[in-house]
Amino acid sequence: MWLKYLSLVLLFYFLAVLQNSFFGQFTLFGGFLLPVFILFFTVVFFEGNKNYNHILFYSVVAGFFLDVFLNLYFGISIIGLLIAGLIAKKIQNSLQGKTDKYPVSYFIPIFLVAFLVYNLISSLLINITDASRPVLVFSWNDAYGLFYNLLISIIVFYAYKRIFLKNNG
Amino acid sequence: MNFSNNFSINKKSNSLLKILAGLVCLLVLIFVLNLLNNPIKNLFFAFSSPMQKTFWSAGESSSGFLSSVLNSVNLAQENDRLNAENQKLIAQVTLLKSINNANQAQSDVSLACQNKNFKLLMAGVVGLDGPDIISINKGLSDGVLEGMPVINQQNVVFGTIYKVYKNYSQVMLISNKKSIINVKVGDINGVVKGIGSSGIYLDLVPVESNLVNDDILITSALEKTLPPDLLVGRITQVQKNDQKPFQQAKVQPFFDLSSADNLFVITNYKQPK
Repeated sequence: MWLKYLSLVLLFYFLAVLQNSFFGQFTLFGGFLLPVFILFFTVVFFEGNKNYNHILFYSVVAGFFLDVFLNLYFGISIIGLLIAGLIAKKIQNSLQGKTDKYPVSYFIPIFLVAFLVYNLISSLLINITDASRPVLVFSWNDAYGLFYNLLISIIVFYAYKRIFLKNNG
Repeated sequence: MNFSNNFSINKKSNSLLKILAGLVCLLVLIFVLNLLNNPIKNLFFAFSSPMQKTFWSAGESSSGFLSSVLNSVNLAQENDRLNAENQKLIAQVTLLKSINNANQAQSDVSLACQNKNFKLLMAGVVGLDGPDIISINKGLSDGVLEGMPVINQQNVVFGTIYKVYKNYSQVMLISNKKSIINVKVGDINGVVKGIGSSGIYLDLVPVESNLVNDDILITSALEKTLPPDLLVGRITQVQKNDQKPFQQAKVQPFFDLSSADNLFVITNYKQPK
């Protein structure tokens, strides 16, 4: 079990480095790819329904690495991810699938909600901590970013489901 | 019955306590992290910088290759456009040659002034650090201070030093939404504002001024943080409305992150009083 958490910590770190270097140059019409958020959401989505402690752990780890590489205060990404993760899990719990516990038809809308919540909370916290920052405005770049991240997250969803859920029977 | 009620209340208050305890722990953790903000970030930078630099370079070459593949579809169209532009340029070159001689002396003086006495510190770009903020591998220990101008070897302005750590710094690009710089187009003064995602626009130009597409923007002497005559961008579309006192223009910035391996920090620029 500890190996899973250690691997996730390393993976979050590695993706945070990639997000701020390699993927920074692969924008889709100005929309950035957020691989850390994609991994965070996927892991939360496939986590057991009552495992809220795990969501806290993932938020702290992923948020920490995001905040390290940003010119902001610590806590902004952690709180954003935590709230987005908890809301996603609540929605997922209220939509219980009969045959498939983790259908893609749940993944997509919950991802969209979590992504918007995460961006909204982060932007609000940034505006609170730094009053000189411009007020939150939803632009076309954000829309392209949302689409870009959703597209990649669906690929990650199928890869995760195929590798981990099959292995667990 | 009474026992089960008590049990359920205890269970509820227990879970509430757990949530409260978790919340307090999280807030304490965030507080401690913020107390140690600079050393933690500097440590992670020192540790990750070589890897980040490698990925940045890999991203640069990969994105360049990808965009060239994507653009190959429009190659024929692009070729025609370039041919037409080439003919136009040849005509302009002939005309400019005659003007060139007269301007040569003046240009030399301008160039000399432009480069006079600037101490330049070369710094490698290691990654993106947020919206229109990049990080470079030179910091306080190299003499970098907040507000210092950052340019490339062609005198294209990238931005100013935004935050300095011991071994690295963050550069706020002129496309950052917080960035406003004074510029001029010939004799016309205005300001360039950042709009994010590497975009900038020209604003506060009096409506009676004559702006045209392809005009070149350079930093003006009114600018406090940047030396004058640094290249900023090229006007792509003038937006004029006679009912407004000022006109605006879309601007294509000259800075290009995909080809920015090394930048230069001007370490001794002080605005002349």
